[in-house]
Amino acid sequence: MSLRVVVDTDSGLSPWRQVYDQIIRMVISGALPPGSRLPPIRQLARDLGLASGTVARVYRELESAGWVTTARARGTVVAEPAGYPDPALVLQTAAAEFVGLARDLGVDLETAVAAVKAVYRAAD
Amino acid sequence: MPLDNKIAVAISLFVFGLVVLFLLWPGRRQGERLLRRWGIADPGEQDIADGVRYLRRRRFWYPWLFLLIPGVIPTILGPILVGGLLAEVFAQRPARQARRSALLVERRVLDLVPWWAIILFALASLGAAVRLGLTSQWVLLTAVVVTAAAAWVVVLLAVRRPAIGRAEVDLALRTRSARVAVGLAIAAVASLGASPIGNLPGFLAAVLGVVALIAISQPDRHRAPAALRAG
Repeated sequence: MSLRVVVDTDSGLSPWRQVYDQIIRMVISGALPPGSRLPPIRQLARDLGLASGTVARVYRELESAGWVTTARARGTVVAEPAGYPDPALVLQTAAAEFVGLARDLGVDLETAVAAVKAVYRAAD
Repeated sequence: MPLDNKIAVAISLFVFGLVVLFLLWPGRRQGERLLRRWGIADPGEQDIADGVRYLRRRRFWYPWLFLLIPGVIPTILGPILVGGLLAEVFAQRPARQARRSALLVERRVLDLVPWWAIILFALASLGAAVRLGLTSQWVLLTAVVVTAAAAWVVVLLAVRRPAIGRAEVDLALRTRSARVAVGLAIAAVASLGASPIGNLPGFLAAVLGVVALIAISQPDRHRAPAALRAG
């Protein structure tokens, strides 16, 4: 997996969330192993054309969820796996968001599950 | 030099710059050659367009900067360095397109310019400044300080600017900007530090400066920069 982060401002998802999700995927896949240093907030913000506060929020949320640690000297680094959130909890949180969206759209359980299955198959 | 002579020289250099611009105005072939030379083995159409735009944003300034050589820019290498500086300043504008990408790797000066080139740059600048200071040549000393500062600013701006195109192309163009600026500055301060005309040590310093320029302005073939290795 590449270390490339992509932000699409037309996607409908907030930019901070796009960056946050991609970094978590990189950590889970091992593309960003424990101890990897993330770029400084200002560098990533400039490269992605985002405000520094947006990237600062990404790093803050990652830190509060246990994915990264921040120290003045070392900057923001990927945490040891022991510090990662419980995978079941991560899945449950994502599922809750998906169910919330499905309910907002008025979609029933079967249709929502079918959408998940379709994405699973497409990703294989 | 009398003012009317300066104006005549300035106009001649401006015309020379226009001819150079006309002859060297980059097209698709030059953009592709630039990228291949800097390690992009198989550049796509968008990569080549980025490379052409990169070259044009530098060369556009040459005629106007050649105009300033008599009296303002004391070396023939100055316009190329200042052209690079202006291009990097304008490249600081934030990305406007909806889809933007970045590599999740910290960029540092040493990813673009090797340590030995930075040491050589520091030694050449310091040596020229000390020599000119000891011989009280304050105008040339100021030119050396400004040249060294301009090159260092180009390097810092090349590290800092938002990404252009694919990560590999972006890194190649950043590296080229930084290395060419450092090489030009070494050659310029070497020739400013001691007059190369009728002076053997000065001539040797100028020759060594040009050798350093050629060596530093080459892509590093045996070492991929850290950001590229990570990407």
